[in-house]
Amino acid sequence: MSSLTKFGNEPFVWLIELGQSFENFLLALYSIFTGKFAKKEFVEQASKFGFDTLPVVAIVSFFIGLALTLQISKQLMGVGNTSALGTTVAVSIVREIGPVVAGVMIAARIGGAMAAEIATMSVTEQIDALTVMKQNPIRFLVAPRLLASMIMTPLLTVFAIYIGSIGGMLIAIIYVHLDPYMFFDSFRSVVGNKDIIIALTKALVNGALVATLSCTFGMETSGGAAGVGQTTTKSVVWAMVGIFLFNFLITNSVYSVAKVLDPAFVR
Amino acid sequence: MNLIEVKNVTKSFDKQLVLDSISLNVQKGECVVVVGPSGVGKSTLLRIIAGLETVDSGVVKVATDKVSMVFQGSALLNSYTVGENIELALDHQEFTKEEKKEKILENLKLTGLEKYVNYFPDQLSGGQRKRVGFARAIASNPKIILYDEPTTGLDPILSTLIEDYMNKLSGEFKVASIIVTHQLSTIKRTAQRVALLYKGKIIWEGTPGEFFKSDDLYVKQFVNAEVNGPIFSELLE
Repeated sequence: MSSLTKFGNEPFVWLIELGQSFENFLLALYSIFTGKFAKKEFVEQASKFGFDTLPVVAIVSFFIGLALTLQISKQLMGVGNTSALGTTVAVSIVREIGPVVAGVMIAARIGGAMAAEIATMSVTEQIDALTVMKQNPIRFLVAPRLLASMIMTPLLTVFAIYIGSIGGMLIAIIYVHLDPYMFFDSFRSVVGNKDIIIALTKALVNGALVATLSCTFGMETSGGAAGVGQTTTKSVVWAMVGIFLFNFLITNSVYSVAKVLDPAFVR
Repeated sequence: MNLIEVKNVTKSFDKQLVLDSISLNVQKGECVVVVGPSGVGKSTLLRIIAGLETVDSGVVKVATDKVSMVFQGSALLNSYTVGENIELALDHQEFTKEEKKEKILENLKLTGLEKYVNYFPDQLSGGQRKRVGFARAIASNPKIILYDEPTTGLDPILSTLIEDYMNKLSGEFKVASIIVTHQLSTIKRTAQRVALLYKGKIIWEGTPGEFFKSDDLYVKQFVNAEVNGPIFSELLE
């Protein structure tokens, strides 16, 4: 079928898999820009994203907001500077926690389901049937999922930031007895357009990673039910590794560039 | 005129030789049935002709791009209705929306499933799914149809219905067909030529009449469904 199957037993198969994923990503992106993809599939996938992930993202972000603020407030209370709580929580949640939490939840909830669905299609010859009917699997399966993921992940990330901040605010009010206005005022003072852009860039990359890896691994699945299980685990693990890796790379790049262009941002 | 030409095709999976220099031609309107024990590469041969597998060596020539396939497990898309599944096969043809709708119902009618047009595949029985798979394969007016066990799992009456239509496609519409099957009844009713595939090679080829009367030990064992014979003992070895 593809190079993956041919080199299946090679020791550096992961490298070939990543190359195949990148190729699929580019092809799907081309399909999206040319408008040649299954629109019905896109609508279905986008709605799945929202309904399936929203509650999980809300719950996890809320509790992480609580725990994070609790930890930070403990440290700040020790040095007697609780007024910086909003600022510190804001930077953590907007720049790091929000995109990562949303990305990880999407990888686990949607990426796993996406990989399992496409892997099942692969082992039951549905993808072969599409090929015989001259339906391009990239246009039919990958492009709609990629587009849905790249639209919905940023939205869910904004939602995760919002809910995480509410969790943080609750701790600030109940535990630190901070005025909610003061908390949000310091929050607002530090979060600017650049932070939102960083968060959304990370979210966009996360969305692309989850959809591309899940679809690629799914399409290369063989070996019946066992193969479907392996693919699901593999796609979730790889997507999570990718999310953390790119999160670091983006943060590092932003700080490196900002050090030169906008030193105040780094401070 | 040959619509399918398979010449000296060899194919291995994980160093295991599945097809060993196979050659097979199928003419316009001809129906060739490929038989043989499970796991000898019959489906792989179909998949190679359909373009779903590459060959290690040899040549496959398919004279038309109007190729269709009936999959063993029906291969219907679960998130699409029966009608939408068939519509996928019509996507690249110049039909209006109304014509597509008519064509879908017409093909479902043939298989007795017109009232299931809005059902999803998981709401159907295995046999019904198989019939939808058949309706989908024929909807696009193909010139070549590859059938992977098209009647397995169907009751005898429905099998006859499908086989009659397969004959109509070969006879009336001059469709070239390759059928992979274990059903002797399907061989009897549809084959113009039978090929016995075993250990990667076509070890016997002839008409259905010759097939059922053959003295060849392999063919005889297959036709009489005998446990004792060369096929079973060699597989055990």
